[in-house]
Amino acid sequence: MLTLPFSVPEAALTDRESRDLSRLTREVGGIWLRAADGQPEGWPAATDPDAIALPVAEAPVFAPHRTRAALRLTTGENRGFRLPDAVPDPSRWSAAILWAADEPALALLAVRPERGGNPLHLSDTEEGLVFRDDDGTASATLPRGQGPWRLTVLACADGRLTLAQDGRQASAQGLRVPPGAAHLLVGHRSLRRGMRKTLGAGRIAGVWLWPGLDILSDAEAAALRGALDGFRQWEV
Amino acid sequence: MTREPDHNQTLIAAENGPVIEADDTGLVLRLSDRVIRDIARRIGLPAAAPDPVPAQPPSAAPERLDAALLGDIDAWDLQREGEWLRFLAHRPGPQGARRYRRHASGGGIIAETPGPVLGLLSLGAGRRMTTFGGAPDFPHHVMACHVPDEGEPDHLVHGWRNRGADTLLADALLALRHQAHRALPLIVALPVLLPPGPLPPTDHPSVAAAEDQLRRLAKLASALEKPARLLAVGIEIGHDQAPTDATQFHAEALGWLDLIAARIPSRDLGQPRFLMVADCGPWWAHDPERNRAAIEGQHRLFLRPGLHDVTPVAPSYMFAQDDLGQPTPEAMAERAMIEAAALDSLLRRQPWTCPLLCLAEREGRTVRAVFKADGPLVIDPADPFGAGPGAGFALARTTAGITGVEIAPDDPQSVLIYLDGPLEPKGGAEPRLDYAVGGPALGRGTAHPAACGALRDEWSLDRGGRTLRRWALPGSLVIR
Repeated sequence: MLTLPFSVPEAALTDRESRDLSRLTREVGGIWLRAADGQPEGWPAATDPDAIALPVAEAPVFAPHRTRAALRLTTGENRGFRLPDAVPDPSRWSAAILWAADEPALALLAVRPERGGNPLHLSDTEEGLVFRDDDGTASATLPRGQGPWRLTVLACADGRLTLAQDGRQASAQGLRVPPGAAHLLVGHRSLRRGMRKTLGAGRIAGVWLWPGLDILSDAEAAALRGALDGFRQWEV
Repeated sequence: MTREPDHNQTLIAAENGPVIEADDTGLVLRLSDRVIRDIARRIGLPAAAPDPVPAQPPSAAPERLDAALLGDIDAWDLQREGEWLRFLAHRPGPQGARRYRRHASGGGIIAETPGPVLGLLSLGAGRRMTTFGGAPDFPHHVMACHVPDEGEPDHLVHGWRNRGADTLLADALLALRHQAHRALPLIVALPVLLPPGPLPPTDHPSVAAAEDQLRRLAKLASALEKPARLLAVGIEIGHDQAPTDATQFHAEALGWLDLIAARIPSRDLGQPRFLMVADCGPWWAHDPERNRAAIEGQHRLFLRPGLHDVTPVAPSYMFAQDDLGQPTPEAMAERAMIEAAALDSLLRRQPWTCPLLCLAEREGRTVRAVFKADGPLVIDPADPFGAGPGAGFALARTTAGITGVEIAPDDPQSVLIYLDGPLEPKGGAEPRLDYAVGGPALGRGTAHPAACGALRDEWSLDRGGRTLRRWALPGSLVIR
């Protein structure tokens, strides 16, 4: 590698999309967990060093997969993380996940109210990619998707769930969200051992969370939407 | 911040991150907006729109209306789409029958145009901001962002009140493109009046006015759901700033360009391209000693524009003035044509080079003036501006005079100035060579500035029976 002894404008850097996404995420008070920063004992957010996701049950495993650092999910074992109180108002938030799986990875991401009651979760199943609540009042489904890595975006706002991947969107209405802060769960949906049928094999390379913002439709999130599109174009 | 390892191999990195990488299909790098625009132009796309995902407006189905709603004009197929009325019409002007739109809340009519909305920002005092009555030749492809008067509705699109430098430039550019059957974009003139006196500091109202104009451009573009680009920033500074010292003027001008460039969101609008007419002052400014600071200051700016893309388009001595020293309507039309020719050339990535004095060196009883030019130089035998036998060249701070000038036989881009005696310094100062810095005192009603010359290159443009030429820029250098 040739190294130039000076700086160039950020727009000329090949990681400018990551930088934009990181900066914009930080500006709106969001969180980006990158598998490259993850350790079995704690997974700090690249955008906010005070936000550290903690292991839930069995020791998590980070390993490179298809040239990317990734959290490894194992069938029947809960090797996931939780980020406590990450979503202060679960009635409005959005998130994204960069993941890979050959067979259905099952639980990928969940937002679980602290005091229990109606968690929302994203699962990769035989039937497709499903984003729904536990009570079964709202459920959005898309095909599982193509490609070694998939970038899936979730939004929850005004009682409506939206799931987006590969340029497709699905949404569902009628969601009721209990008040109070919620945890973000990565790689599982239950906060405990057991529930083995919800735990499949897969990889997670990154998770974004934007509390209070619906990045799929809020007008003020246009720049973030653009940055996420840039990231998808260049780095997925 | 660290980057996640992926399948790319970094080939070149700068201190702040990777610049060029390779993946298994080829090289990976980020092209600049101007490269993308060039690619779009070369593969024949009307415009590149690499902008981030546009906001998704509620796409109301078009509603068909009776075209009589538009009044008694030759229009048909009227539809309302969202906030806009869109229709086909045959309107005055050379552009023929085509599709137009008008905002539902009222205001002027604009043509449906391909590609981004183009802005022409312009900053100058009287000689740039002169206007006269009338509408442009392409009245629906050119619009001005007027700041509304009190009590007037602030429409997105305004009708026409007058024509100024920028609307004429937009018109001239459209005429060039129309002749060649090229795409006709929507061009928005954004004039900002600079007060006479030293260049305004950061907090001057003119800086806020420029920002306001850029905001209006962005607002219009977003209402049209198009990206906005800044085509050029026309500036005219020099005499109006009444500089007393060329070095100081140069420094202030660079600082002011930094200030303007910083207010232009280049990621959205593109890097600013400054076009500047070299201002030779009003017709009564004939004294070289009083003109020198302004002219030498501009000359320094042309030779050393700092980090900015500054193109001197033409010297103002080629443009006729009225009794008040303002350009006449004909002169403004000529200025617009030459500015359009320059801008069109720059947009095609070809330089626009007015002959520029770069070096004056003594060779015995001769001074050799070396110019930067695009082709051989000519001393116009017709001397159309009355520069006299010296063709605009003069010596200062020396006892020597000029007996004659000619293009150097050994170099068509140099001029030899023959002296009547040795080049002795006068008053302890270094002898200087001036070009178009002053001239004989002239009476009222003189057509051109006294600070003029007769040196040009071989470029010419025939428009409406008049031949426009590319004249040498005014300048003043110490003879080496």
